[in-house]
Amino acid sequence: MDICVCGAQVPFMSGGAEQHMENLVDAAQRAGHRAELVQIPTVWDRDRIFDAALAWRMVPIDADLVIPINFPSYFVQHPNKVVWLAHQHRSAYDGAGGPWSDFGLDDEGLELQRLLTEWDTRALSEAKRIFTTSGVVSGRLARYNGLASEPLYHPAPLWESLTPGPTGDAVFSPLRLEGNKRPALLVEALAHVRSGTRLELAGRGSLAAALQSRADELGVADRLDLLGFVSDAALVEHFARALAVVYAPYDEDYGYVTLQAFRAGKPVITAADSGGVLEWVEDGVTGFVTDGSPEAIGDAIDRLANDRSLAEKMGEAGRERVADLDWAPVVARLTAP
Amino acid sequence: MTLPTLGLVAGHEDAESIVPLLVALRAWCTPVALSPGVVPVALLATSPTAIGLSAALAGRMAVGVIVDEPDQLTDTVVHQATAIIVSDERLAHEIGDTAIVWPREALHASQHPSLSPFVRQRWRARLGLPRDFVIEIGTRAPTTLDESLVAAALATCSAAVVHGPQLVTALALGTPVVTDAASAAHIGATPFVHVGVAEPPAAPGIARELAADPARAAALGWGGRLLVEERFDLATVASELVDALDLGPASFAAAPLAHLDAELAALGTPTGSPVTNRALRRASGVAGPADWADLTGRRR
Repeated sequence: MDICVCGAQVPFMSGGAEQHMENLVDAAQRAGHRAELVQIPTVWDRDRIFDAALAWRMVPIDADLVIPINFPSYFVQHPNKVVWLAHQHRSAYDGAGGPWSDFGLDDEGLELQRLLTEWDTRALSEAKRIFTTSGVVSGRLARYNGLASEPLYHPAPLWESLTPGPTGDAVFSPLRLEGNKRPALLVEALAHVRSGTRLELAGRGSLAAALQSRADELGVADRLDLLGFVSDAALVEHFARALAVVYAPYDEDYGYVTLQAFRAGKPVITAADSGGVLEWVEDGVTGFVTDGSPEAIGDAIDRLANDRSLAEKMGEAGRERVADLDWAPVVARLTAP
Repeated sequence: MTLPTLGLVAGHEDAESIVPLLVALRAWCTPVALSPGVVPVALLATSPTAIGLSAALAGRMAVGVIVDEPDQLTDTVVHQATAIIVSDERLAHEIGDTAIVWPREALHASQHPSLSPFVRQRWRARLGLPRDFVIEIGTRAPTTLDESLVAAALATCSAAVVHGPQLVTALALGTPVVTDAASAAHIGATPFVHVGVAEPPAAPGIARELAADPARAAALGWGGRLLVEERFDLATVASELVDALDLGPASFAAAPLAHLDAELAALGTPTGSPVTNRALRRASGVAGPADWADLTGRRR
């Protein structure tokens, strides 16, 4: 079958969404299909938010199947459209009014939000089937657009490379150093850790300098390693030799970090408002679901540091939890007649 | 580009009642009162008696006729009118393929923006209204709601119990609606797909439950909106009439800007909205300014 995977492209930016689309194309090709990624440049400011959506609307695509992944690619028109939704334009929905959204309570903003909701609902309703990447995304789609969908879970990047290693002494957290990932919460938590456990924070972002300053203020800089960008090989290595992984973003769509930690046999410490992470982390079984306070996260780190056998047991449970994740059944579901 | 002319034949007493349909028809044709010098492509008569043009009925051009009562359905009308517009579905069924249903409750859906529960919640925050509230319209409940505020209340409430003439308006606005079984049946609504159904004593409680469940409210609100677009939108009535009278301008439909305009309309974009104007303006550079002016003028 000829498949076009459709996705948004923000020039000069690449992240989890792009990786996800490329992984789907690879998986479809491995399953014997001809698959290609089709992208159209997109911007996120509200005054131009409809432009790329309308462009998708007018693009002719000759293929047996189109699989749009994110806003606004699902505006593509095709008789065999199967949506696998990673996210809508969150600034207009759950992020509206938040620090990274330009959708306020002004007249124009509210009308654009209304119109975007209606456009989304109509365009997504055209799909033969709607899958999402997680229950969190399905929940939002039901709540905001009244549309039913089915979560379809998939392996995280580096899946084949991630393997368990010896339980180490540091907790690890790979994430973009941006507000919605809440890296500052982890630095604050370090101040409440009594066991002397170190935090290895991998990733880049606008908050790097502020995090270092805050660590200095809290007197925990000697236990914080800001690793910056790490290669895939180093990432695999850090997962393998961590004591545990700490990952407490705000309302994450899916959360590759959780899956990668489990694949590497490490428990995950998270927060009760971390969204998709909670579909995987079972409190006391595969990690700890805290109330999201620095004290509670610090306490959870100490519990694992002081009971390494518990960390190993939870890590094994996590690895078992993701044992069935595979690309082949994902492709089979998306391409089913 | 010139749109085809639709000759209008109306008696004084019913000329006003046809205005909403004429407004909807303006997207496809130019309705003009029939007079010497007017050369229409087709005719629309507000009643069989208003027309008085048996020659036209004899097959010289396509004719649409509005029929209010079954006894107006003479053999001449049934056999020679191209389209017979009626408000009653049973009567339409008896007439057959030439019938077009114009329900009495029909409205311009494009002039009633659909508001999802989340957008309603944002508007309530903007207006300083309670986080959630449920209203009752057309029920026996004591109400302090001024008549002029009904539409605004329907557009911002979390859910509503609605009976009577405001029911279709409420659904057009995407309001999660609870009504009684008879009202639901009257408008052809499927219980719990288009509307919640409960009899009066229980209805407010069901509406409050709906308000507390955003996913159900969103699904029901959208279902109600789709019902209105399918059955009660004057644009749908007009479109069926245009097809029947063969008024569709083929050259217009093929123009690049017409594709863009059609997509904007299909997505529910209001006429004259900044999004529409921006899109058509950007595309007009390649499609020709005359085309653009034509389109924006028409959609406004």
